[in-house]
Amino acid sequence: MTRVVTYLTCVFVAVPILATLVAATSADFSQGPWGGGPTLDWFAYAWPPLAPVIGRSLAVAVLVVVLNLLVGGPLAWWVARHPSPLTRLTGHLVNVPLAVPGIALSVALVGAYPMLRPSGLLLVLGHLVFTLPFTLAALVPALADDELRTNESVARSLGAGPARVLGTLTVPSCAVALAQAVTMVFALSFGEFNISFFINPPATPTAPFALFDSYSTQRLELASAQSAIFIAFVAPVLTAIAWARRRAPRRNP
Amino acid sequence: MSIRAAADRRSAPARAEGLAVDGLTVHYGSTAAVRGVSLDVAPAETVAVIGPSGCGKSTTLRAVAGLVPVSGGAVSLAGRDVTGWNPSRRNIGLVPQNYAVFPHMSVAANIAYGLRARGTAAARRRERVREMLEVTRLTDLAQRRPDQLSGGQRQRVALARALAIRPDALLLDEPLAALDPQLRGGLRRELAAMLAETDCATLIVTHDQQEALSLGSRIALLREGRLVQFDTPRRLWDDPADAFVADFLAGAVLLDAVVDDGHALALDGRWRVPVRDLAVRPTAHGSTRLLLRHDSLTVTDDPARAVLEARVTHSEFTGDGVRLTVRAGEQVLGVRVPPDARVGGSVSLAVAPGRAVLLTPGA
Amino acid sequence: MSLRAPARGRAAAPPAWLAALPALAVVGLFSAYPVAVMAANSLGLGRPPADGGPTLEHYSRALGSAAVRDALLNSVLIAGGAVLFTLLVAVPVVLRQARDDRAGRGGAAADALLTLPIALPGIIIGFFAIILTGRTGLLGLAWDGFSGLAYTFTGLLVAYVYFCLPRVLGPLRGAAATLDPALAESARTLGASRARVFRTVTLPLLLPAAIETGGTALAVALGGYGTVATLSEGVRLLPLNVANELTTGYRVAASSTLAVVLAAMAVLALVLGRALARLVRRAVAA
Repeated sequence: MTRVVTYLTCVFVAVPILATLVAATSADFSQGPWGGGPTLDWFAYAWPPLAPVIGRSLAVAVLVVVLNLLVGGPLAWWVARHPSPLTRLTGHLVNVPLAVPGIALSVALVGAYPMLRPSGLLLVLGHLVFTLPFTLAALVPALADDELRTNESVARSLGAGPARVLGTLTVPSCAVALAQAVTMVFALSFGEFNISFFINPPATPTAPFALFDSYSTQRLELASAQSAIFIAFVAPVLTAIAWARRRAPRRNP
Repeated sequence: MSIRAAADRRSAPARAEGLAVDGLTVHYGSTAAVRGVSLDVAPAETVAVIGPSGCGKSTTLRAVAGLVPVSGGAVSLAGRDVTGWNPSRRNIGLVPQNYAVFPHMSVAANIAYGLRARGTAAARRRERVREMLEVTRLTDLAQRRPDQLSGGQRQRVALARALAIRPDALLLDEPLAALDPQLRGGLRRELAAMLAETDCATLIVTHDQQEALSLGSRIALLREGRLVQFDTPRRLWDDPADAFVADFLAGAVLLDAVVDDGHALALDGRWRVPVRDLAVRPTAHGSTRLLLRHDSLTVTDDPARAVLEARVTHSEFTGDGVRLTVRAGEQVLGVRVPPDARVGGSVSLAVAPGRAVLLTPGA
Repeated sequence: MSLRAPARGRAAAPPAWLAALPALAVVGLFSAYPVAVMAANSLGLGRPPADGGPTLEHYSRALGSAAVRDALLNSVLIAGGAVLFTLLVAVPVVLRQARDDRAGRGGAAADALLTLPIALPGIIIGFFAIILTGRTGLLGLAWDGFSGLAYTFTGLLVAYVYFCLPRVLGPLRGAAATLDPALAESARTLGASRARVFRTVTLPLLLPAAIETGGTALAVALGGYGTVATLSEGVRLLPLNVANELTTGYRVAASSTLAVVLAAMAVLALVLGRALARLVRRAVAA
């Protein structure tokens, strides 16, 4: 019973992706799958205009990942190592973007900082506050781990300085959590649409906006090809997330 | 398996009742976890299955409960062949290693679980639960949640829950392993007392020799999925089937020996021990062997006695003496000396008269 | 258990909260403050030329509109229905995954596949609906009833199930992994059928986590914009109204009002989910 449901669920998730590929390789999809014969022409049409947009989205996502580590890493350390009512309050504050719908936050951001929109700075900061909760969720438990803290104390008692302890113990022990945070933040930023809706620089949109535009103005085949290209960029990241979860320490007895 | 002293005492119908495992084989993927294990438990008898980790003892128990598929052999219970039956139809009481007390039910509801599943009438169910609470001395805790109980109390809940359904067989997986080492001795005696009152066939899986020796009326010793010896604790202790059994159960050494001209020759003839210094006992396991326990050897400086030269590799202070680990050729032996003994790098060993046992097939 | 750090290191160390300062500044400036401004705008506390002082007029006007009330109802029905259906599907899936994980088998492929939708923006999920059940959709070829389904209530519901699936499967899988298999096994040996074990042991123990996960997924689904934006010619949901107030005529106060309503619903879903989960956990224990 559970096996059947699991297979059906996998089929449910896979079928639309395969259908998108079929549409993207059909000369004329309105005549049915591979109507007018199979072709790769749509990919050839889709790629040139999409390439700079994907490049821009990648750049934003990488920047958001780096900022997450620079800003979120120390925050996670503070929350994990100095638990107090203050850190709990901080946790709630950081989680605000999880509770407030993206479109609402987008409205709020553009209302407060319209001048930061054209440069794209508002977009990056919007993505940053939206992804910080995920960084925190991944890193705090790893940093709070008792064994890690004992190991750090031992290293310090052996004469290691803070930088050495960080580099030789803290970061390696949190490798899986870091990988989880990085891949998740990257995927979320790369595909972000809701928060981006009003803070996205109008002249230089990110990939989801190029797709959204195609959905309403282009042929289904071309839009499918663009969607397939987009999925091809997130799929490896997704595999990385699944891999990181498999490597995550099992906590059951 | 050769000796069935305990089995011989029982009449045929009684044997058909308890639990019988015949040629049991279990595979996990392509590896065989249990290979052709046969054993039987009479009603009211307790059999301990023991062996090092990974020997297949827990798998044997799970196969009896019907929780792993069997790839060969048969399990019969109260005269019925239950191989391939659903666990829910076997009428077995299982006490898993971590007790698996249902965390969302009170102690009383836990004990009633199997009775409810069987559709026992409410009045009889309450009566049986009250009875089980009393037997396991949990009456005062009947309405408690499992997270408010100690490890020992949880064990009693799991035991009461398993016994409430009047199972044909009771299976306990490492019943004391989850408990504090300091408490184990007392709880072991308590468990033994409770088991003595039940009349179902009981199978206990353990890796602890003391637990097996004190709880089992017979012991099945497994290694690498195979049954090595199945007999009473006494006979396993006195007449181990091989060196592994001797070492695992009693920490003893078993050496192959031949008797020649009033002497036992061991270690390829390098060691000659006069038979008159040895206790001679019969064995059921074919060949002549010398059984050495921790108190069988002494260090001597009398050249007249039959001695074995050995090198001291380790010494360990045990309070009442010093335990030496010595090496004679390839063989590692243990010998105990008084705490004030002066010992060099090598020692001469002799048997303590009457303390070492010569097992001979003919005697 | 923990060893004390050498004292000399301690004296020179800056206070620990300094590490949190950059993040707190970012969160304060770009999350808390804008949300506060948004709430102020909705109450007529915005800049004087546009807004004339504290008022609830924006709320009464928004809730007085039939279009908004319809969108609100649809949002609740679609998001709620999708989460409920997703939970029904997710429970057997996570139980299977937990069993496979314990046995050390099970595909990394299935694992990655079931996680994939979390990285897909809502618009792509909307597009999937068009590809399969749009006017020239693939499934429409098999049966005419599928044609145009994407723009109906049912079509949107299915799209939202796709959207919710990874968001429910992830956390619920963690909860299923902590269920001790010995509990179900013991129940089986005590004579309970599979169905009874599920009803009396597995489900009660999984229910609190399922409710909490459902609350979180509901909050996310309520706020989801991309999917319904792609399918906007069909059923209308509240996030569309939030965006429309800005895109068609830049009415900040009206848009903020709807955004606050949407946020309030999402927060309510979160809080209710958590409270209900705690309640059920206690009820199950009693």
